[in-house]
Amino acid sequence: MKYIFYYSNSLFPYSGIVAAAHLGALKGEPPYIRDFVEKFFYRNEDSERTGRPYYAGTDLYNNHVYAVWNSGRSGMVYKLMLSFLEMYEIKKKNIFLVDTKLKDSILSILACKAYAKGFDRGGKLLAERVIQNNFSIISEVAGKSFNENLTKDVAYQIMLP
Amino acid sequence: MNVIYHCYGGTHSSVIAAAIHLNWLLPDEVPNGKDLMDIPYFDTRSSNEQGCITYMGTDEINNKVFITGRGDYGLAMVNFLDELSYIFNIRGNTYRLINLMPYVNIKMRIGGILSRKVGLIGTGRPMVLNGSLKAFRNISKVVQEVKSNLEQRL
Repeated sequence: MKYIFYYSNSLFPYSGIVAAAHLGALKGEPPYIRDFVEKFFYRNEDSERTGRPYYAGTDLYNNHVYAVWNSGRSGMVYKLMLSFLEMYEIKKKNIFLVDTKLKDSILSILACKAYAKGFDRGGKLLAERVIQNNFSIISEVAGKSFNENLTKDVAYQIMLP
Repeated sequence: MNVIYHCYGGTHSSVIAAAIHLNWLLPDEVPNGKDLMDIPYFDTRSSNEQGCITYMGTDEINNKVFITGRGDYGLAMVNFLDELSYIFNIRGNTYRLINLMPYVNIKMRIGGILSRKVGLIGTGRPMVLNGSLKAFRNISKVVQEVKSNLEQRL
């Protein structure tokens, strides 16, 4: 059993969507938007959820898939997580941190702002467009993290996009 | 117990707090600039090191003291570590996060940005030192509260 954490340095929940893709939620032809996307967006008053890793589920190989996203300094999540686990001497052998490397665009920021202000319909349309624009990268990142592609070699993780 | 002092850059107020906690600085006596500069990591860490939880030492009642910089990630960091501890079965009462940002004054902010972000150490460092000395008593008060709470838990 492995713990796979997708993370992105973005307001837009790219890593949540990659995690959902990992679990098979984004198959098929466009439009790629599904109702599940809405749960990744926060209202302004929903600060309790900010930064909290989202548990996407368990994949076919019994790996636990999580996602965490937040706009901030690049690599913050990675460093925080590794040093926190080190503090408790938790073995990192089965923990995989995958940087989606997807960045915010004007559209993605607008989508988040629309949801935050309660304009769900507008937010959904914008989110749909953002996912369509980035679908190839989303599926590539998720595909590279399937069980058969994961090794225990840290050098391999660095190769991941 | 692991005590994590955190501030924006993890190189000024959190470092001073850790130094007071570990008795490297006397809590009731405002130090001078040289004393502050002698503390490891004071005004030396770059913004790339934000997020690294760094071990500073162990206090007299065996609590481990750490520092970290979390940029604008304040609440998100608290939530993130809270959830991580749940995922990996770490008991929540084994660590304590102490936010020092409310005690950071304008001189520390501007001096910190100039020294650490812009690279103008000659201008930023005296400003951040001056601000830190002014903030010392408030930071010390927080540390004393933390230490007395920890002692009461024994």
